[in-house]
Amino acid sequence: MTDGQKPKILKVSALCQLCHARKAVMKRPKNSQKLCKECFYNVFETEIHNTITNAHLFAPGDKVAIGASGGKDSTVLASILKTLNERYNYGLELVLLSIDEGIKGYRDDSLATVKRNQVQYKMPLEIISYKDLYDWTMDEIVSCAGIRSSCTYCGVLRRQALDRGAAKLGINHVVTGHNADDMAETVLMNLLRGDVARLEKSCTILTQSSGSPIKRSKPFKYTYQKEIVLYAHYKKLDYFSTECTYAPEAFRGTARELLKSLEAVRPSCIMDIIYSGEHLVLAPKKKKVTTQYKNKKKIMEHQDDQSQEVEINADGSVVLKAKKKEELKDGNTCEKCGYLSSNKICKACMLLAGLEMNRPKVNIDNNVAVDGAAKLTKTLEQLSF
Amino acid sequence: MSDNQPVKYLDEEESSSSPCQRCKVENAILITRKEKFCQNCFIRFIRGKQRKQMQDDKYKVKYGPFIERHGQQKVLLALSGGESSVVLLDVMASLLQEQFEAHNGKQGFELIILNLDEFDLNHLNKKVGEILPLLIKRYSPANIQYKVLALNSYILDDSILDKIVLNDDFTGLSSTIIGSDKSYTLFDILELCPNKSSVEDLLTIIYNELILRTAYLEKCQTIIYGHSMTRIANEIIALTVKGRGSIIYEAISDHSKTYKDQQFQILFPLRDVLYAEIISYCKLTNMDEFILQSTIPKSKINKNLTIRDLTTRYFSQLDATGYASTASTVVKTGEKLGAPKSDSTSLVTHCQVCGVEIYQDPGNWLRNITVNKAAPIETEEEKEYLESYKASIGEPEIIDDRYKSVHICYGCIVTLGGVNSVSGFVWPLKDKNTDHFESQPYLVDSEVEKQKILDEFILTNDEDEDDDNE
Amino acid sequence: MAIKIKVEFLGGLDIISSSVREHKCSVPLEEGEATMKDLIEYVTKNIITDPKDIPVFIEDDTVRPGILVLINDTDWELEGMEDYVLESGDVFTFTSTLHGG
Repeated sequence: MTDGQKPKILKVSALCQLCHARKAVMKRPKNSQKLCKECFYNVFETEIHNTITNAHLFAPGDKVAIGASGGKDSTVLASILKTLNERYNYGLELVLLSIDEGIKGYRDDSLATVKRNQVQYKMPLEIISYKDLYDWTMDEIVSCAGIRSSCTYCGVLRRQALDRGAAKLGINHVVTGHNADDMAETVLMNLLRGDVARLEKSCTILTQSSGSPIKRSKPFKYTYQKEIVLYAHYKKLDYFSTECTYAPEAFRGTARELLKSLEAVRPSCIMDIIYSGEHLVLAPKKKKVTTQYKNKKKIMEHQDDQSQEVEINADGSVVLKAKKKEELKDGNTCEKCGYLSSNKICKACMLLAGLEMNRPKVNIDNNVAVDGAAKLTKTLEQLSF
Repeated sequence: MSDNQPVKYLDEEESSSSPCQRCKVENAILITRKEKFCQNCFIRFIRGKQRKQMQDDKYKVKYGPFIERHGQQKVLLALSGGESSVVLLDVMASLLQEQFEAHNGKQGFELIILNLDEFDLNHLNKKVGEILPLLIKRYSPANIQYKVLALNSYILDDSILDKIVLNDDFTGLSSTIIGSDKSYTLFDILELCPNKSSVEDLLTIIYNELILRTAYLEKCQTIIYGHSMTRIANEIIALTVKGRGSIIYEAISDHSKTYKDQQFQILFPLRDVLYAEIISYCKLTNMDEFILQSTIPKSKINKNLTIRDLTTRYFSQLDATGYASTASTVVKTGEKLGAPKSDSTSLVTHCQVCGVEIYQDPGNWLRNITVNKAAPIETEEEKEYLESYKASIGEPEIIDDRYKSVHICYGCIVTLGGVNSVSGFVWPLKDKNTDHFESQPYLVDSEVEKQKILDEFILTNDEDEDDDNE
Repeated sequence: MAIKIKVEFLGGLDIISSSVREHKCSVPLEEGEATMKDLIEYVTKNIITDPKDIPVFIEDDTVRPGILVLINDTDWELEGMEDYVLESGDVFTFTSTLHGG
């Protein structure tokens, strides 16, 4: 694309700040460094390699499923894992694992991209569909439950679908394309909606519920969205880019907007938020019950404060009612589907049961259904892929 | 500020048909938190919030043995001149007035108003020195003192300044500027900042230090801030965004803090009041005329705003339900946070720029995620460019033993990131933890310090000038 | 004399230009004077199909954060951003970095 402009002599100030020998083509949001293409590839790939090795994500011989949506993040992830696996002899067996949610006009096209990736990267591909797994497509779910909590449903169902897909392939490790921007957004969201249970762990790179055989990790945890897009662009990677037909929930939208405007003011803020997120620590519970705290709670009770987890006895002592709702006791299996679950019935089955009840009266009770489901799943929302 | 109306005013017709839900006598004039209030009950409601936060006996009028036990209590109110701190002043002063009347002229505590003068910094519309006497007169005969401190008093002496250089590998070096012919005022230092958000970060450090220093010199045991619930929520988000998330637990909670050899109680008595309610209170008590405002209009362009401007705007743009519930959620979440875990292996030291504790080396974290290695140079053309680059930079400055390594926390690395490497940055380094560092030569001894502040910078009741902080 | 350039909408941004990704344009301005600022205005007036979509592309009179701008494949932040002076033959790439991960 730069043809016809070759003869230009570069000024020293236009050179890459690492090699000082080639034209800088991009500016890193992380540290404002101006880099040439080659040095950009080098730092981009090496940083991801460092992230992988520092966190000991893989061991030789591991079979790893790449959660592949056909979008930029997972396409770059597949490409880079292939590159790094060969360059550093990770000894990994890589498989593409895609979920077909059943969203017309969105997933059809993106799956076509994944199928091309399968050929380009010479990796096996497994597609798991909601329809096969749950007997519901996302389109059907939305027409039944409304668009408002579509991300909630989709998130829960996709998580389980990925797990089941991996299990089917005999794989116990799924890597996803979550990038630094996603991580930062999650940290902000957890604060904004008071998701205390997830606060400390929101930045963990490798997660595994005890009892579950499937690990999940995010090799792009420290990788900027901007750099992923640039990498895909310069490397001419084949990715699919259309927003999901069902827009993200409004509240997440406002947080994303905030993050974008913050990034424009201070590009490093994505990393800064992750740093903060990694260092958020919950106070030991008992210590928190100081005089002021008690008083404050009493006042709060006068207002329409719904979350009273503290009970005050007549003698002024305080009882902390442990709210166990989010603590995951693992190791049980769902009575309905046999899948691992912390409760008698797993989250996916709970959602589906709610849907089944409403299937016949879609247009009558629509709002009630959505509200009920939304409440039920408020705590599950962040499982979105 | 809020088009979304978390506080809804009733028009005449609505008002005449809506009795106040508190006194059941007067007509309600506004609705907040789903409750209808008349003017007096609303004011009492807001004041009640402060009373509950500060119901400790030590703030009450004391008799007999209690006088001995609690001693003379002095409360320092940090007043920026914005709505929240002016409302806090009204709330506190009205308490003193009540005590004065009910106890024959006795007060439960002495109230000292401290303003750090932002007149020049923010081009304020009024001088605080002109406002404060009028404001205080409203509460006569209650006895209220005030002090106005020049921001430049943060730097008592050029000799406490160091030049700081932040290297590419995120390590910091400092060297004394003694001997250089340049002298720096605070404004010169702020000029060295790479952007507005960094100025904002440094001012926060300066304000905290000056407020503590004044509380120390004035022998106050309590420091109070006017922060509303909305502001505290905003602070939690802003600290997170600035990479300072690990100090949230302390920065926004009522806590005690040790400065030099003294302990201070730091309180946010309006922490249960929404910013929108503060604005209403201000209006209803006719305090608007006392509010200090910057005459520089806030830019409408995102890029010209600071991080705190953006987070503030986020909260102000939430709809009526979100306005109250999001702030309250964020504050409650922030209150559940605790001090960072430190194990025996982590070196606890202090940031020499802002003073916070450092548990792990933030430079290490940054080095792990930031590769600084070039791709190989291959072609002749590339080699030529490299040669011309080398020719252009000349001799690099030699880092000799004039430079000492300096400890900088993550947040301050971010604040100083992008400082021009030629001018460097200049700052009075702190050195609190003498166990880990060589003792610090530049801390001005407190007596001298006190004299200096008193001589040069403080304006008290009988003098005249300006203000700020918060 | 008009400046002949190419404008590309990638990363899903082509939804604001009737799904056309590549636009060969003749910007009716003087070469050497016209800047990126003028091009942004030209794009909003001539390429974006529905004026309702302008906010998808523009914020505060410049390209919205979240859209990556390349001038001849170089990050526009290295080319002076809005002040870049257009040259004939230039390729301008606008890529949405927002989701679709």
